[in-house]
Amino acid sequence: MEKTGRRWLAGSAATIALAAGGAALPSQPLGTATSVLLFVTLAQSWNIIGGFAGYPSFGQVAFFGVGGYCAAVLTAQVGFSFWAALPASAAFAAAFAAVVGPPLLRLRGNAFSIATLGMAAGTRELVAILGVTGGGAGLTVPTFGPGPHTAYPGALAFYWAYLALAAVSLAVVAWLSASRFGLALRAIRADETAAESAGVATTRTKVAALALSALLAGTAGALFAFQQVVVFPDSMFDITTTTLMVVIVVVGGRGTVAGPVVGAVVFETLVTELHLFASRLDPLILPALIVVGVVLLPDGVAHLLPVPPGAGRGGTPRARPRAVLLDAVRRYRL
Amino acid sequence: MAGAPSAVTDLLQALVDGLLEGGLLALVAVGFTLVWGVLNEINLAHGALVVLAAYLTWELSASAGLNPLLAGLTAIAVVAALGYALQRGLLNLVARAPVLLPLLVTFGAGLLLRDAMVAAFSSDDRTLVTAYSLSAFRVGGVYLPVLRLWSLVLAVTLTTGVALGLRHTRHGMAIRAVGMDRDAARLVGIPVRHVYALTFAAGAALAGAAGAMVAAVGTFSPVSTDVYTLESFVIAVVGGIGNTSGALAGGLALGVLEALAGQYLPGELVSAIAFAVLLLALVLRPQGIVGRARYSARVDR
Repeated sequence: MEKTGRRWLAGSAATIALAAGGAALPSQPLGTATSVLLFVTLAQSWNIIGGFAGYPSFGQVAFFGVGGYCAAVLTAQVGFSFWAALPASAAFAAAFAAVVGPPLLRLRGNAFSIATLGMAAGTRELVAILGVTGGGAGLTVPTFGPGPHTAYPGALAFYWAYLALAAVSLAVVAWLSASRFGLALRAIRADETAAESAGVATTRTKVAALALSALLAGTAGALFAFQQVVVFPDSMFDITTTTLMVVIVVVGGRGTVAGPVVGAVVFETLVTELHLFASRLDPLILPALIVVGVVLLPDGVAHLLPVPPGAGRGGTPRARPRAVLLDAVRRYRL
Repeated sequence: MAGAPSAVTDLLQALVDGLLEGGLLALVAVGFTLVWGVLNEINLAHGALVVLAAYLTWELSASAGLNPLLAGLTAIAVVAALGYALQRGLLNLVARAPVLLPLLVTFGAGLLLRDAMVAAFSSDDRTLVTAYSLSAFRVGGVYLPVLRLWSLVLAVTLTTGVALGLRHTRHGMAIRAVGMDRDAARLVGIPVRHVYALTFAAGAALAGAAGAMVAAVGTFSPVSTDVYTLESFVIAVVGGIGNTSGALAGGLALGVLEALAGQYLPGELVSAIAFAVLLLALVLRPQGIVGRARYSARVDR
């Protein structure tokens, strides 16, 4: 495992370099970098269930929102410090996924996508009605005052927190990709019936994958709630968040380790930077990027790498990137 | 109004309103279920096409002064052409990919259309007022608005027409053949790319007809797009995917259910009805409640 060891070392070194580099950034690029890191985590969260297991969840924002609201409720209503609320929120989001998972994961393909979309919308409605969450008026995470609170740590600290979370997500997916669990998920994606008859406990594996992805999304949601200070149903359960997760993974490469990272960097940078000049056409940018990205890169940029992910250890013959790009379009064309 | 309306009249009025609204919903959904059934493609841009047709009808008749009927027909033609181009130019490129990809493309296209409409028409509610907008029959204390009655008639006619057309015309048979096995269809000489685009165009034209009717009988804004897509989805699942007569039954059922809920349940629960029906249907009977899914024996290679 010489090679694996070197990869982990390189990853740790890169994380430390990024952490040091963040301190040197002016505030606007720091903001962009922070949101890129948030979406690295969210994309990896979607990647586990949508990429590896092949269950395209359109309700992933529900776990993000549940994590965020759990953190807000624990700090504002129960008096937890934020750092105590963070792991509790992550665990709550995972438990929520373990409860809603079994009925949803009976469905496949389109039906699963739409049912999860409905699940997220229903969760949002529930949060907007409940009293403990402050309803539509939102809830404020206490950051100062006489009562129990956690002081607002500032932009650089959030950059570091999101960086740490992104690094953990990447490590989790890298582990998953090489593990027996990841192998079971890939088997389910390839042919669920065959996987079942080969001894994969499909339901349990799928629910575990959904809970793991919810754990990451819930942690990110809790951090996001703290960063925003005031949480609303509309900001925590924004369908655009789900859309970005899905598109980043698709354009980056479903079921790969590096793809979602590349996708998040490219997509979030494009979206955040394009916002700066095209104000009137602003809302049209994201949908246009989605359509163009999905049609041109149906298998993601990761498949344009010199050694495509999923290629055998011995290595399939290298193909030139241009040819691979056209191949993906040709393969799926009618 | 003569005297206090009795509970019976209230119930009857709710039932009638539900049936009339259900006709419109069925019309919205029938194109959606057709595309889903034949192409195995969930068209998340469907609601946007409905609202686009409503805006075109409105602009052509209220601003440009065209006869409302003519305006509606023009809107249908434009939306159908747009649908053909969308399928032929974009969706055909990912037709063999996992269903997630076409889903994302229609989602993006729908978002693009919606935001373009917000930019072009702003997002306030609109209603088309014509000479016959407010005329209504009155039968024993129950009101029957004439235009809504026409929309129900149109819904029944069009869904029956689509069902008959699919069964008996040459193009209809080509569409069904493609829905069953596109590779075999291609082997016997059916131009599959064209038929895919044609099916999508037919779905879009039906969305256009629904949109023209929405412009005539109700209010609309770009925000309505998501509601129409969701309701189409619910109706398609309830009526059996790809089953056009099932869509009619499903639409009427959903309309009545929502009207009754509006009458007897607190307001915030009414919007949850469609979701509740959807989740129940998906979990308990994915093959449809009212009807059976067509193309269930599809061959996909």
